[in-house]
Amino acid sequence: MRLRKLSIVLAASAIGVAALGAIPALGADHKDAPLTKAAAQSDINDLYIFKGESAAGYTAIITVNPLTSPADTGSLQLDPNTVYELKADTNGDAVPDVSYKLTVSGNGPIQDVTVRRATGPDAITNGIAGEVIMQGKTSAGAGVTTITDSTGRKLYVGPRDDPFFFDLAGFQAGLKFTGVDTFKGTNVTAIVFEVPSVPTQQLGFWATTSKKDNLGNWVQLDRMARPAINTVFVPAEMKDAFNNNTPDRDLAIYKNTFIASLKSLGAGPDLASVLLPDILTVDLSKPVKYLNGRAPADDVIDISLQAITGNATIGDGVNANDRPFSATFPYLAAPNTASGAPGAPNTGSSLTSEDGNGVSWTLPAALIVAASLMAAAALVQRRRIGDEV
Amino acid sequence: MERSPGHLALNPAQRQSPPLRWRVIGQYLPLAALALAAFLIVRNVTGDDGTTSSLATVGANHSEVLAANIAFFEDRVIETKDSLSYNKLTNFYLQRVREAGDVSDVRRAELSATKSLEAAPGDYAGLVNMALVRIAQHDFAAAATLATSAHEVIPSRPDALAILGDAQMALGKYDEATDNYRIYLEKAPGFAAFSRQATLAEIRGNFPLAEQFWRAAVDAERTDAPENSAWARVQLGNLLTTANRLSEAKVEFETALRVYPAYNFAQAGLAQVAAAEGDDARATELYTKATARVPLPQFIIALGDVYQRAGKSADAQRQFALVGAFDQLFEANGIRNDLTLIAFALDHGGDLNLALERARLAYAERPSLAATDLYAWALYRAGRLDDAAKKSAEALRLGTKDPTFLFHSGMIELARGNSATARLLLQQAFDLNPKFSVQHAAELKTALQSLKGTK
Repeated sequence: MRLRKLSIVLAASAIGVAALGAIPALGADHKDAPLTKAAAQSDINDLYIFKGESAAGYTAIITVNPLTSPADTGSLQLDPNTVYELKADTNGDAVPDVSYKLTVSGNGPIQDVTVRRATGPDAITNGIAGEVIMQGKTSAGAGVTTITDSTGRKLYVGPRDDPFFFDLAGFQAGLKFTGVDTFKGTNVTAIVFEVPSVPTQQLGFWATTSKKDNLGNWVQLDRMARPAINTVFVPAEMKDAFNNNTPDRDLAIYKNTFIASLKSLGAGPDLASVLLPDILTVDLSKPVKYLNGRAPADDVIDISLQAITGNATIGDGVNANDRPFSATFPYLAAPNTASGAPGAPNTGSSLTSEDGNGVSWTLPAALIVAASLMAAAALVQRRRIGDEV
Repeated sequence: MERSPGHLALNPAQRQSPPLRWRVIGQYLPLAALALAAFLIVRNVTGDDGTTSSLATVGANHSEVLAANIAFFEDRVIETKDSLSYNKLTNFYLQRVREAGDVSDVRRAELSATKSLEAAPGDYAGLVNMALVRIAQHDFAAAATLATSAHEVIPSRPDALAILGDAQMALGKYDEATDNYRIYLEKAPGFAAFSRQATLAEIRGNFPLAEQFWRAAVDAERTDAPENSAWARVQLGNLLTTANRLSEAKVEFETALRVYPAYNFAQAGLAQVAAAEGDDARATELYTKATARVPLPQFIIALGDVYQRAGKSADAQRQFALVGAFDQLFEANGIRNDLTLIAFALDHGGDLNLALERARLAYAERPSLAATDLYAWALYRAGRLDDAAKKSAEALRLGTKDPTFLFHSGMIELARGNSATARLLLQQAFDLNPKFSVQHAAELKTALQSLKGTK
């Protein structure tokens, strides 16, 4: 169970070859092949949309390469065969109107990076398209190489402290939270992208990763908008297909599935058309804080739990990231290092079933999360403008 | 021995419903070869020049980084106790088993995988990791069950099928493994799929296809995962050594060593080439290097064999004396019926009854071709020649061109008095590689000479 997208890190763990056929010596019993590393590089952990330094625009952060130890951080990179996209819907039809497509070339901690801006049909495709707007280098270590263009856009790509904070074990143990931040001290690769101005204040975002298949067609591997939608509402056997899909088809394809999931969770069917299409919406004219967009500091776990219970003190006990965020670009803390002091233990107040607030802590975790998301989505719906999808 | 037709193609049930794009163009080629071709076209791969200029290398601090990764997550899981951290830790342990050969890491991986499944019962990755642990422990039936469970949790994800295929390979279920590997190749064409196809092709005796797939595997991760690429290059080198293409094999091992300095499997590969060339001094030096950092039993045995051939009996015995310790070490870490150690007992004067019983058990638990051949050889040593012949034929049923299998089979037939069959089999072994084994090459030659003129 996970509240964000950690599915592919799991898949990455699985690629081991135990090749028999021991040639030339009879003696060799079976061989264990190395693991493959590419999957984590295409695994989107989280998407953040918030107000950074740019008063009239927005900042987007996409993180990949989850749960990387300081020792492994030196070898973090993006996959040269993957297209990383931030897709934006500007008119509420769940079809991308603009896509920022990021690709890298070369291997190693410092790669060449290119961003293209695609509009119209090019924004919809997963392949490389659009006009090149930025080119530069990724950053290594704690260094920050900021790539800019003449319109004031900014880009940073490199290793950072994982901004996500969550007591995963407490969640897995049926909401027996102990306030331990599972992601404390770990790093990710962050893509931080800032746009100085927007033509419209109401926007919908999602991030995707895509690769070519063996016949040369682009295939979308992953997509990410609001946390936990896929995890909670999509049955295991459909999860990958959901990741391959596009938001404009979400209702047509997944509405019945979501209704069934909602029904099994004891909820009404109406929320299906709120949860879908799976897009992280934001109204930049209003304070940007999850559920309106998502800032790195937003405690999405607690917000979700509180939304369902109405109890403003409920949470997982991890209320902030282990390292403080910066008010300036690229916002996320420098990567944890093997020698660096990893900050004080993050032990927020722990919550137990004795709270007596009418919450049954023995509820299956998925049910709580599902319910919290419904509530969250309902809030979003009230805030969304021009939502006639 | 010719391979049976169509063994890499689809079985009839699957042939009816391949994805459309395969159906259109896939009628005349075995699917595996087709996918390889498509991959090569897409990647614009024209061949591997073996030059280091285009090769990423494994850093000198590789093992220190791995140790630091393990230390980090060992420390973290005390506090976090979550499945994701345990999964990372499990994978790092398994990686260290592969690279450093310390089998106590297998037990650590087992504990870590257990904790992961406790935190998240029935989780896909936890099941997959436990399956990998069971494979490392040679409990292939348990691995198959776990991989099947994982596949049922998320049927669209191919990794579990690849691992199920691995277990089936060891269990002698080659048709099932072939089916699962085919699905894996379709869904995840890349390093891990190519190396599995290469192994399948080896098993089926199709060296040209195996060579192509090993080269594709080498190329698939040559830039972003040099350790993987070096591993595949060593497998390619081993294939070439088996085929007695020693100078080509040497190039692969040397390139692997440039990619991954002091890589023990590449050093051992070069040692094997030197031994095949009759250069015992060089072979000794290289095997000593290969076993200095990572003492793997198969290379210790090989070093002993080279000493023995060079007339250095005391040195040989010193190496052979080390091998016994692995029996306890493997057992202590849950590793069952290691074929290398059983073969050692059979060929180096171990307790014959015990070796036969272990070979029988290995065959009963996981009747792979290698285990079947070994059981045949144990039966031969025990004088049960008819049973040995039966098992030996079983080991060769897929047309595997392994000179050791063929040598065993030939010696069994010779002992049974079937001179013509023996001669045919021994000649096949000899034609494949007259220097296939430091220990047995001379025996093969002698046996063949004794059969000259027989019909």
